Amino acid sequence: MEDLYTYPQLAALRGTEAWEIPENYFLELPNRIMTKIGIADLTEKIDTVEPVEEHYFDSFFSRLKGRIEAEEMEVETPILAAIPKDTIWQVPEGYFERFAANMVENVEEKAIAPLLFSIEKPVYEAPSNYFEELHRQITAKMEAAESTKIRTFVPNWSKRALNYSMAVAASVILVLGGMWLMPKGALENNQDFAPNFSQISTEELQQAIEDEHIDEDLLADVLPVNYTNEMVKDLPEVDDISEEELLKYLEKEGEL
Amino acid sequence: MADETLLIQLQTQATKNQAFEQLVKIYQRVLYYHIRRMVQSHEDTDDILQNTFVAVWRNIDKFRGDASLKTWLYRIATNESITFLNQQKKRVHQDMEVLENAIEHSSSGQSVVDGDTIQEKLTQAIMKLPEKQRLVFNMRYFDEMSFKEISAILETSEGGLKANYHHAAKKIELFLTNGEWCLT
Repeated sequence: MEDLYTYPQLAALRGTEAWEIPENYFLELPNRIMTKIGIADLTEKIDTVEPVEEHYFDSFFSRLKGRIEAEEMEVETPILAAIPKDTIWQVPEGYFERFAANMVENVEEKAIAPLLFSIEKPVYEAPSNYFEELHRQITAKMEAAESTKIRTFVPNWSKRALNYSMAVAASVILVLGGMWLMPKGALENNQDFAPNFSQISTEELQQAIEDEHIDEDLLADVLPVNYTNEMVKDLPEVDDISEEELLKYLEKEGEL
Repeated sequence: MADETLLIQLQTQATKNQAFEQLVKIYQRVLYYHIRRMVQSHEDTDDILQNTFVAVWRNIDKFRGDASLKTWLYRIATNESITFLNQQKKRVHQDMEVLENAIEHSSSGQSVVDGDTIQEKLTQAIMKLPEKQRLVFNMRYFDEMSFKEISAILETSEGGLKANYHHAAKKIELFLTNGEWCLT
């Protein structure tokens, strides 16, 4: 402090503001500091942005031009512009993924069979209007199938009865046919005989039935008593079918 | 219309009829030629094609979309064709030669475009192929399906299909070139 007294001019300045500062400097200082921080952050972010892809700017102008043209087209030809370009030429799913493999396969095929792959493929022809009529024919076929199914309804247990009856009828025909072709009086004389059914033709059997050469007594001799009744007595009559059974049958048939 | 939309309409009672007609229109030609190449005659093809669509109509509600609609349709058509061929073999007891002869001289004819010898030979060669090889060959050569698609339809491995196809192509090539038929 003594030095100040040695320099009286300096001592006179003591306690006064030696530096002039702009008006409102301190008032505005916080804002200016915050602005500076913001700029620093932004600069930092700009430094971390990934670089644009190579040649981005080379094609920038042509892309810009294309966009301007597209916008103009949208105004001049709105319908055409509305059609998505990428859906016009569609390729099968996975086409490009399999393209290379397909190329190899095609080359291999041509190497195996060069002549086969050089000729024009044969063309099959369908009658004229066939495809135009097909849907109608299928519909008609389905309708016909539905009506036939109902008309030919025979329940399973009834089918069994029918099969039994047919087996009995076939046996009767064979036996009667054999007897009809047997030497006359052979049965009455109780002769031993063995009819050879293989020698009887279908026509001969049919003729026998048509001529009604069926003797009920003979039938009684060759078949057990009430044979046919025994075979079918436990089977229900077709008329006994309930509506419920009918519906069940139709549902089952429908699944097939 | 996309198959997904069509399927929804087919499984909805109110839109089923209309969607079915649409389905027939979309797939009738591809399925017709697929069947025709297997059985040759138009009359048989017509029967099988109609049966195929009838089966589709009856079973569409059970279709859960595990495969694509196209794959499913091809599978039904293929099964119907194979069933028909097996029944025909049993019923008529014809060997392949007699069958070919009958087809060639059938009243419906129309097997191939007339007058093109190499194409007629190709058709003959295809008919000589075993059933599986013929099926795979037709699907690849005519329908230009990928092995992946064929594999989905026939439910067989792609490797097996490729082997079948290459055998078939080699046999046909040999037949077209020299008129020789390899039985293996």
